[in-house]
Amino acid sequence: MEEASYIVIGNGQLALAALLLLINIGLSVVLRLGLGRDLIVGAVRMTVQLALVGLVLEWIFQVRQPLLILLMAAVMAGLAGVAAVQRTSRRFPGVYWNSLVTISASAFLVTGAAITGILQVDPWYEPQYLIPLLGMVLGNALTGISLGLDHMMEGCVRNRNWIETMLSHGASRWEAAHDEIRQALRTGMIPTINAMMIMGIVSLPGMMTGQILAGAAPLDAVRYQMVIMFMIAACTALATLGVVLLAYRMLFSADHRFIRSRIRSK
Amino acid sequence: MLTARNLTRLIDGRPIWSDLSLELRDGDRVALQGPTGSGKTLLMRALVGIDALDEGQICFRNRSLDDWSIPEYRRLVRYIPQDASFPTGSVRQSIELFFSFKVHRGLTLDTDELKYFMDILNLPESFLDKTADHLSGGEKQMAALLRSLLLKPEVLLLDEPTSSLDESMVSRVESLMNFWMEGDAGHRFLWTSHDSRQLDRMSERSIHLNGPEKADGPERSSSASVEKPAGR
Repeated sequence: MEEASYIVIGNGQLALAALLLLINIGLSVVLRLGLGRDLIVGAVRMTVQLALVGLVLEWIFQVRQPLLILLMAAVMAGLAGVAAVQRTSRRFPGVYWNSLVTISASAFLVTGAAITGILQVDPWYEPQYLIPLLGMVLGNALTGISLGLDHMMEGCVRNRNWIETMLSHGASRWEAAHDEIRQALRTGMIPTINAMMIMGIVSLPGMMTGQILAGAAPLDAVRYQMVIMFMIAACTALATLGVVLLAYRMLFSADHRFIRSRIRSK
Repeated sequence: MLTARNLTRLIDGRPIWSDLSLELRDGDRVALQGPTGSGKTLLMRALVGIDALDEGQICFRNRSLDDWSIPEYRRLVRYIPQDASFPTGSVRQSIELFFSFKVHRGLTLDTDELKYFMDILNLPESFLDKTADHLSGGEKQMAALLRSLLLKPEVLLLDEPTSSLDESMVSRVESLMNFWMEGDAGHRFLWTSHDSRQLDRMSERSIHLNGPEKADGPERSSSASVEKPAGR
């Protein structure tokens, strides 16, 4: 293996960094914040989780089996789909499937298009590109899905009276649901739009900083960041649209009824 | 003709009404009566297909509800909820919004008719520019009624249409409904009210809901409907 262009962190250095946690624990004890326990649990979880992911990734990067990489991608998409629903405060039957289908379809479509069409990675399954790109796209689509779903269900429940007034005056289910759908899509997209607005001014995005740390030229890192932001925006839009439309089909029947009973609280 | 046969609606497995049949013929003025919780609102909602039925069939103009395009059916058979909603914007905007529904595309707002209706209700022209947050409960009810009538329904299902109005307004709304009924021989309504004198004034017969079966009330024939002339 060629010489890394960055400083490799050894175990001793890691332990030194962990000492930084003592500052937090000290503050918590002195100010009686009662956070000491949570901080330790959080730090341990973070360490174990990242170490495990590191091991899995190391293994996958070595084996470089397309099927294994796809399996890893599918697991990532599955976890993201479930996590998206778990953040919402209401549910309807089939909500997990809706989330899984839309997040997988949109993330694989966008990541696939970027890898084969834009970056032209060869071979396409090269995990160095596929896994991190997919991960970032999924993480953002997850937020879009959970916000969109939450807003759609919340809006329909809150405005039930108005929706049913429209329906009883001859509105089709689409006409009656249109406002809620639009609001849900807006809400799902807002974090992505806000992130693009302030990117580079207020925040230096994690991926770009990472590449710079790893020795990439800043201008190259910036180009990657632009590509990933376009991917994230496209994927979040697709995923939010997909999941909101599926929710609409579940909550509004073909005979133009709003089926309130399908929405349950968590 | 609007007919409903053997309607049953279950709530948590228990019938709120069952085997209920009714007819609304041209020119009918029918009161829907029953104690609180007897499912008057649920019946009206079911009649326009906003709630699903557990059993039974609804026919309008000799066609089953299953064969109707539902928005088309609701263009003609209209349910006005007691607390008809106005989320944002002015009364005029909400009327215009309803005219924009695809099912009303053959219809344009008849401003003369609107003016006439508003005269009967004794509402000033400026009423149309009031926004939702400035409307009182009674004003919302009148705006909802106006909005519905302008869209030219044939059958109105009115759920406590004057519940938020003071007495002088009640009689104006009743006049408006009398005027509407005289406007076309095909018009008809079903009306619920807690005011039995109002029902006597407005209706020619009534349908009575007895409410859900009670374990300790064997003398009641559960929720069958009884038709009787109103106003004895």
